[in-house]
Amino acid sequence: MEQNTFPPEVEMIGIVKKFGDLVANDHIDLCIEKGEIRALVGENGAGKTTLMRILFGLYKPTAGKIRIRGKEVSFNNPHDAIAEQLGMVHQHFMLFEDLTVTENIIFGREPSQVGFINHKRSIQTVSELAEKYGFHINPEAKVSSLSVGEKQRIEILKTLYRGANVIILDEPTAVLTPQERDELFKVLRGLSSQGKTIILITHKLPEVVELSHRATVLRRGKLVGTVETKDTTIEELARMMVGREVFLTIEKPLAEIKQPVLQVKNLTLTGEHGLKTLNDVTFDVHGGEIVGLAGVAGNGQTELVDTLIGFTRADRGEIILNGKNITHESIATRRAQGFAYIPEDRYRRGLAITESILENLSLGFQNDENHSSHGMLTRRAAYQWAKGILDEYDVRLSSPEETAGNLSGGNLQKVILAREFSKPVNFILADQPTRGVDIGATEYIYQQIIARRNKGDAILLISADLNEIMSISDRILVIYAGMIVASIPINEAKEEDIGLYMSGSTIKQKVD
Amino acid sequence: MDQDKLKAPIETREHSFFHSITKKWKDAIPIVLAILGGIIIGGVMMLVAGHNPFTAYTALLVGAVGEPYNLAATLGRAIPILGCGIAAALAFKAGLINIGGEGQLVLGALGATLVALFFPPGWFSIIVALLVGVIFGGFWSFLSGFFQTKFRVPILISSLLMNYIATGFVSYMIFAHLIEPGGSRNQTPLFPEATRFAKLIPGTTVHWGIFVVLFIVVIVGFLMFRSVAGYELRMFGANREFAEAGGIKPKRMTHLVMALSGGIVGITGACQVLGVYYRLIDTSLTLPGYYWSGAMAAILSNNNPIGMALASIFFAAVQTGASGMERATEIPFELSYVVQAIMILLIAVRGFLKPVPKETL
Amino acid sequence: MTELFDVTLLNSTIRMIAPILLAALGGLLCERVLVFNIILEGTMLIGAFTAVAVSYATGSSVLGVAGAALAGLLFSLLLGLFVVTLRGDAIVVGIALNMLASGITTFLLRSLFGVKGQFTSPNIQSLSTWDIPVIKDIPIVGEILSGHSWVVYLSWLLVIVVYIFLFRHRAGLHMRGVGQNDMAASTLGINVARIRYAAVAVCGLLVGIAGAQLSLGQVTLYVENMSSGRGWIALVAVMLGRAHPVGVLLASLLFGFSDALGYRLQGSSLPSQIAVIMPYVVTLIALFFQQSRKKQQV
Repeated sequence: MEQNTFPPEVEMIGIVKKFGDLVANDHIDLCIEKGEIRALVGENGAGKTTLMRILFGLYKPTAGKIRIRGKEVSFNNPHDAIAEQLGMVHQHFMLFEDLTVTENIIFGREPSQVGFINHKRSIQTVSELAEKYGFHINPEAKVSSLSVGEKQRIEILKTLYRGANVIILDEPTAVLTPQERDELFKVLRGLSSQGKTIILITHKLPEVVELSHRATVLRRGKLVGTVETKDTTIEELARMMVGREVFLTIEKPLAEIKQPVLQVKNLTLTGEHGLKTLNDVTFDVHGGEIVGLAGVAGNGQTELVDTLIGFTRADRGEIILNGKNITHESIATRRAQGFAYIPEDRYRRGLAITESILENLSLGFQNDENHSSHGMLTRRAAYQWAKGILDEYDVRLSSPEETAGNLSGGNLQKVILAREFSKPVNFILADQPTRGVDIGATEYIYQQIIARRNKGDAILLISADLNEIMSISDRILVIYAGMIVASIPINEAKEEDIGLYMSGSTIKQKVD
Repeated sequence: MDQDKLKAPIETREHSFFHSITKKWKDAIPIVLAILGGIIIGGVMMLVAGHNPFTAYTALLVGAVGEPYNLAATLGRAIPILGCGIAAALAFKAGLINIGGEGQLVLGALGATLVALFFPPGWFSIIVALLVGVIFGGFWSFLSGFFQTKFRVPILISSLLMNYIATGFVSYMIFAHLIEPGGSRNQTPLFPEATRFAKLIPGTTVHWGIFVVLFIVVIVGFLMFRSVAGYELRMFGANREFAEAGGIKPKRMTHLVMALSGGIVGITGACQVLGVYYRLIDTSLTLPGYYWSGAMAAILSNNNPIGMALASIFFAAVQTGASGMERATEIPFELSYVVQAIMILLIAVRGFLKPVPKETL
Repeated sequence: MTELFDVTLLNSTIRMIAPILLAALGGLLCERVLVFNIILEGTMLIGAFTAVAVSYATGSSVLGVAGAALAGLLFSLLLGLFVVTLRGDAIVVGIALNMLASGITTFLLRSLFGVKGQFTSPNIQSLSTWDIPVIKDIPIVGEILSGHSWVVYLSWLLVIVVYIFLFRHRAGLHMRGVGQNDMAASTLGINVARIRYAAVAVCGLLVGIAGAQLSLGQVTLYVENMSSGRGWIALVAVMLGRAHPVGVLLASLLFGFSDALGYRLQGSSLPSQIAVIMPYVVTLIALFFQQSRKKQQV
């Protein structure tokens, strides 16, 4: 990084941000030079996303100053930030699936006469822009047909089209395979060498070390420090991030594998356009093991989950749970066979947030003896039962009559756990069980899942977070394009190999 | 079109009986505001039309409850609105937008009419007529539910279209097969005297059928919150996917609830012809807008049975009173429908009155 | 004789498509921006009434159409207000507004004209019809296509206009974007609420004109609740046509034809009350085919 006499590209001075009593950012100072790749590092809830949202104009700081290229600025909204040549690529893409690449990029700033869009000029402008920065795109392709990595590059192009010189990326590698990540890093290095300033929000330390020039670490809203990446190590960064020795794997006793509890055979499902969304899927989950299903989102996980729980019927194949063929059975029957389900989206499938916690807990128990008698509800008994299990599963709330909508994500996930684990089940389908959940609750959920596994239950864990899968699984399956392309015991699993399987580049024979 | 959009009116608060009193009172505030708003805007409309709102509303009050006869008329009008209201509340609570009540109403009435005209006179035929009313109305409504589960045609659309089909069919049936000979109106002959609900209050429209309707309102209200089936219905309405993931069968729920809802409307229609007109008169059940008033009473009270009952009686009072108001002031009584609609508009935005959520992480 | 039967039927068809088509064109804009608009029926009614009232008062049918368009626009803005700004549930608001339309038109019918049930008068000017040169002289085709009110021809033109707007104009692109991902559109500088209001306003305008065609189009007459479910049929046309101008045109053709057929059959051996329900039955059946073509979930 050359020393220069120009003012720093981005300066954030003494930034404080409060949400009520919660101090999300506590006097943060940030100084980034032009052309620098800065990693903003911290755990979930450290305040890095908040800080960048302030920079991008989504929030106003409670106190502090922002200077862009030496000029003091005050942003009321993202448009002000964009006017100062800032751009942000969010974790969840903001794309129009049914519109073309060009339409997505020019949206809101279309070259036009009297309002009528000049299509030729649009395509030309977009193509030239892509070429200038080394992107390979098809301007007329529909965004829905693009891969995740390609979509992300469109998001970056969008910022460049609007003249961004500072690009903020929020956890950009969360949804990428290792190979796509490498592609992204190539692009970012290219942009940096052309004078663009990159700010990377991430909690993945290996990436910080690989890509960034400097790293700023936040912990619980406070600035821990900024270091030159070449002068530091992953361990030091981890210590700064967490403040204590970090155990990167969770301890658990060796798996005691028992009988297969869930047997999936040749499961096949044809979706729209005649494509097979599930293609001859075969695997088992045994009692006493956690099987982690790794894969890039959109490769059949949703279809597999829906077929297993019973929202969708497979076209071919069999699902056998505890010896019973449940392929054509209703959801109720499957659950009665011992099936517990932690859904990916707790607000869509896990809860009714307008209702009370008690009523949310009771679903599945309504005919049991402490919930009803002769078809009529016994509310007092149910209330006591609820208090018991809410206590058992460490849910923080004032009373079971409280509305579900008042609880935090982590607490709600524990409610779901309480409900599902209190049923007489031995198979647990956990779909992204720690998504949007704070650290404390995440650890708790891992503990509970491992405890069930130690008791002999069979667990199928589906997660887009490879770290999570590698942390607690006993065996890893990889799904790609609706096929199980790998089955690897944890002690043989290497992240690079799994990444290759996830991106479909090595399709070996299916191993059981 | 996204199936998600076609859920019933979104509920924004709890409904269980186990609440502290303060919570219940707080929940009623938006409803009171909506009612006041409707009254005020109605008054403004009267002013604009050159009338004195105070005299008008006084005349309305008198017309509704001022004299014993008016009070009875209000009660008599409330009966069909109550029946339709509980049916609507039941369906809406389950997330099913049954707006085909008009068709179910006339078909139920038709069923009862067929029995009344062709069965031997007597109280036994009344019972059969009521049952046939349930079956006709219930079946028609069930069809709507079936079209959704089998063909994915939204209940909102099919029930609405089937209104027109049903009213046309009933109109035809009267005209072509049941018409009173020698008369000038499209109506059936009078039912035999023994196949009628006797008047509870002589000289009014209040008849013994009111107990049928009230019984249904109480039973449905009770079961909705105290029974397992009611619990499942409420969860289904609160979040269908959640209910389904928990083992509730959406097809079965849809079919049952629609059939039940339509059946209740059907029996309401049967009660009307057996107790008020003693014949089936074309458009007599649709012109007064009974089902729409009932549906709006359900919406206004957030599908809570007690609230719905109060709202139904309230709307009945407003409509009856408006007739009296028209006699006194020449203001057309349709103003009552306008005021009703405004109240629903105001209650629809009750969520907007909640404090704006602060910035969240 | 049978030949004449067919030609007259087709001629009626062309005429009866117009209100459904206009309403559906408006409805498709609302669908594109994800405002669930179920007040096509009520707006059409408001338009029909206003057209008659203004035409009666001024003696001009053109002013009648203008009045209907304006009334439709203002009425639809209520939907915008209660759903877009105040975030009310679109279905509840829609039911209430339809009630409002029905109540207020009947109320005004009695207040302004002192009549019940229906209103007609020689003072009401009907829409002027156009005899299209050249085409009118072509045998059969001429009798079908020529001689309709100018609103009918306007509705055809609007199919093309809406197409061009949606796919070639900035605002059309913005509308399509808002419907697909309103958050994304918002972050790119689009005022989502303003786009929705625009769609709702234009829809109201078009549906108001549709109502004018109903009451001033052939017989100048206003009957209570004369939209008779056509607004709902237009909504179905939007669904069947997948919110695309051409799709909506085809769906409207089907429904207009069944509407005309229903009227035609009223004079025949089929009882009039049954004939009149023809369009609703056709609409329902069309829905069976369309919706069940999509992949069924359990």
